[in-house]
Amino acid sequence: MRSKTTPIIIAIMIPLISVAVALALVYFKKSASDGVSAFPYSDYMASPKNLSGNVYSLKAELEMQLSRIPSKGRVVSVRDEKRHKFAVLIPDGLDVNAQTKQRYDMDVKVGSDGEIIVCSMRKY
Amino acid sequence: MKRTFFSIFAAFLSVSAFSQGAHWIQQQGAAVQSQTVPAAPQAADSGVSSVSAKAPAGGFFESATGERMADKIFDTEKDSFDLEDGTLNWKGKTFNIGNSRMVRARFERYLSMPVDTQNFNKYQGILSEIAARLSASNDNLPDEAVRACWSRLFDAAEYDVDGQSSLTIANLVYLAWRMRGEYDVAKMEEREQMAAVKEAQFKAKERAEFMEYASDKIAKMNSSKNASTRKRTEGTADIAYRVQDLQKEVVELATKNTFREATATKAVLQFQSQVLAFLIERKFQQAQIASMFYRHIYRGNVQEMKVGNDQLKDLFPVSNFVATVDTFENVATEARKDVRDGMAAVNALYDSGETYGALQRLMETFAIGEFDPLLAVFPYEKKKVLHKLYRDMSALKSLSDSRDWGTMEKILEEFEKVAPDFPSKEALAKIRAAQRISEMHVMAAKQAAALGKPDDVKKSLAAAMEAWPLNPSIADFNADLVGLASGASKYIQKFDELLARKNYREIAAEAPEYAIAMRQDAERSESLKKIVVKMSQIDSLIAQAEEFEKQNNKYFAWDLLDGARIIDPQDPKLALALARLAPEVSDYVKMLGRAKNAEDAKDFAAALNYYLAAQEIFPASRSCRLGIERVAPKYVK
Repeated sequence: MRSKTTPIIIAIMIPLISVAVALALVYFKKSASDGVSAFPYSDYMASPKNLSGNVYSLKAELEMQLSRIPSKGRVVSVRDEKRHKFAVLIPDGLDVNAQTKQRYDMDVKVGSDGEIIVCSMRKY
Repeated sequence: MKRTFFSIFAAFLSVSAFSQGAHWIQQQGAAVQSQTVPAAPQAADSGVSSVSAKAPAGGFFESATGERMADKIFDTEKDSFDLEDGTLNWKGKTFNIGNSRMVRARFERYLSMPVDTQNFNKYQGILSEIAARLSASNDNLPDEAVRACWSRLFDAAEYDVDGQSSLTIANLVYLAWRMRGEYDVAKMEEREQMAAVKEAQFKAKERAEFMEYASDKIAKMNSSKNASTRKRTEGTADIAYRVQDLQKEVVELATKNTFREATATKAVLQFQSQVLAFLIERKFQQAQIASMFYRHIYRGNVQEMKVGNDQLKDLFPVSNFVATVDTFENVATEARKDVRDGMAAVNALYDSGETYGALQRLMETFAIGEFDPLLAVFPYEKKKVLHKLYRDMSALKSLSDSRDWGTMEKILEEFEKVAPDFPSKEALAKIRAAQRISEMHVMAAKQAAALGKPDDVKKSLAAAMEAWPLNPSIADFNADLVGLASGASKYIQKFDELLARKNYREIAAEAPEYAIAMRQDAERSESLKKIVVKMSQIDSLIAQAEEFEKQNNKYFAWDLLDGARIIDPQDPKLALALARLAPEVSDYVKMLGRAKNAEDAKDFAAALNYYLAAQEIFPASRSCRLGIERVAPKYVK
C-alpha cells in the first residue's frame, strides 16, 4: 500500500535540493575566482616594481581620465574600496565603455615599470 | 603806560616758546594740530591772598565793586595758552606771546637753580601775619600797628626766598611816611603864614581907619578958617607899604599851599606807581602787601588811582569804572590764586607720573608767577626731572628741523619711560614712516644702480635725503659707490667667481655695487640682471610662504617654496626656509619627494601614483598637479 505522506515529502525535498544545488554552484564559482588576490595598495606604494607581472583583482571607482596615450589607451585615476587613489591604464584593446563615477570589478596586472594595466573590467 | 603794561605781560607770557619741543610734535608729527592747554583748575583760596576777598562789602565801596567786577570779568574758564598761535588768554584778554629767548632762558635758569627752602613756612607766616593785620576788616588801624607790620617787613626780607622785595615795600612805606611828615611841616608853616597875613591885614585896616579919622578931623577944622579945602597926603605911603606887605604874605601863603599839595601828590603818585610796578613785574604778593599798606597810609579820596588807569580799564572794560588801589590788590589776588592752582596741578600731575603734563602746567604757571614764592620752593628733584624733559623737548625741536629722525626716535622712546603722557606714539609713527620712505628710496636707488641707471640713482637718493637726510643707509650706499669707483676690476673678478659657484644670493646682496662696476660690460650686466630678478622672485615667494604659514596654511607655504626651487634649487635662503617648514608637512614632503625621485628615475608610473598620493594629502597642490600633467602621458613606455 502506498503511503499518503510520500508526495508531501517529495514536495518539500524538491525546493530544498534546488537551494542546495544553487548554493553549491555559487560556492564553486567563488572558489574558482579566488585564485586572484586583491590589489595590495600599500605593497605597491612601497615598491611598485616588486609587483611586476602579478595579476590582481581590483574593485574601484573610476574618477577621472588623466591622460590618453595614443595607441596605448587611457590613463585614469581610480579610488579603491579603501579610498586609495592611484592610476591605471585601460588599454584600447579592452572593449569596454568605461565611465567615471562608476564602480568596476577589474582584473589588473602590474607591468614591468610598475604601471597598472586593466585586463578586464565589469561594472558591479 | 598802556603799551608797557601789555608788553610786559606779553613778555612774561612768552614762555610758550618753551613749548617749542612739544610744539614740534604738533607741526612735524601732524598729530596734534592745534593744542590748547586748558586753564588750571581753580582751587580754594587761602592764606594771604584771601584777605581782600574777605573785605566787607558794605564798608568799603571800592573793594566791593572791585570784587564784583573781578568775578564778572575774570572768567577763568576761558583762560588758555595757545601754543599754536602764540597767544595767551588770561582774564578775558588775549596777549601776544611771541618767541622770547630771554624768557626761555629764565625758565631754564629757574629749572636748573637749586632750591633753598630755608624756613619757607616761617617766611609765609610773616607775610600772612602782615596781611592779616592790614586786612580790610581792620580799617581804623592805629599808626603803631601799621608801624609794627612795617617792621615785620624787615624780618621777611631776611629770607632768601623773599628776594629783598619786602625791603622794597618797607622803603616805600617809609618814604610815604617821610613825605607825610614833610606835608605836616608844610601845613604848619602854612598856618604860621596865615597868621602873618591876618596880622598884616589887621595893621593895614587899622592904619587906614586912623587916616580916615584924621582926615575927617582936619577937614572940619579947615572949613571954618578957609573956604578953600585941600586934600591931605600924609600916611598914604604907609598904607601902600602895608598893603604891599599884605600882598607878599598872601603870595607866600599860596606858594606854600601849592608846595604842600605837590608834596602830597608826589607821595601818592610814588606809592601807586610802585604798586603798579610790582603788578607789572608779576610780583603779585608784593603788590598785595603794598596795596594793603597804601590803604592804611592814605585814606578817602586818595584811594582813587592816579596812575595805571588805562591799563586797569583794559582789564575792567566798564565805562564808569573807578579804579582804586584795591583794584590792584584784586588783580594780584586773582593772579596769585592762578599760581597756587597751577602749582597744585603741577605737583599732582608730577606725582601721578604725568611729567609732560606737569611741565606744561609749570610753564604756564611760571609765565604768571615767576616771582611767586610757591615757584621758588618747588622741589629741586622735580625740577631736575622736568628740566631734562624740557631740554629733550627743545632738542626734539631742533632735531625735527634737521629731520634727524634717528636721534628723535631714541629720545621719544626714552620719553615713553620718563614722560608716559607725552604724545610720542603718533610722533614715532610719523618718524618711522619717514624712515621707511627714505629706506624705500635708497632701495630704489640700489635697484636703479643694479640696472645701470645713474640718473634714477641720483633722483632716488635725493628723495631719500629729503625724507631723512641722516639716513645711515645713504651714507653706506655712498661709501659703497665711492669704493666701487676705485675697485671695479675687483668687483668683476668677484662676480665671475660667485657666478661660477652659482652663488646667486651673494651676488644679489651686492647687486648695486656690481652693477656700477660692470656698467660698461653688457654681458655681465645682463647676467646680473637675471640673477637679481631670480632672487627677487625667490624672495617674493618666500615672503608669500611666510604669510601662508602665519595663516596656518603650511601646505600652501611649502608649495610656494617648492615652486621657488625651480628658480634656483641651490639658493641657501630658500633651502633654509624649506628646512624650517619641512617637519610641519613631512607626510606631504615625503610623498612628493618620492614622486620626484621616481620621475627623475623615469619611473613615470610610480611617479604618477606618488603624485596622486601626495595630492590626496594636499588637494590644491600645484606641484602635484604639474607633476601629474607631466608624467601621466608617460605612464606606459
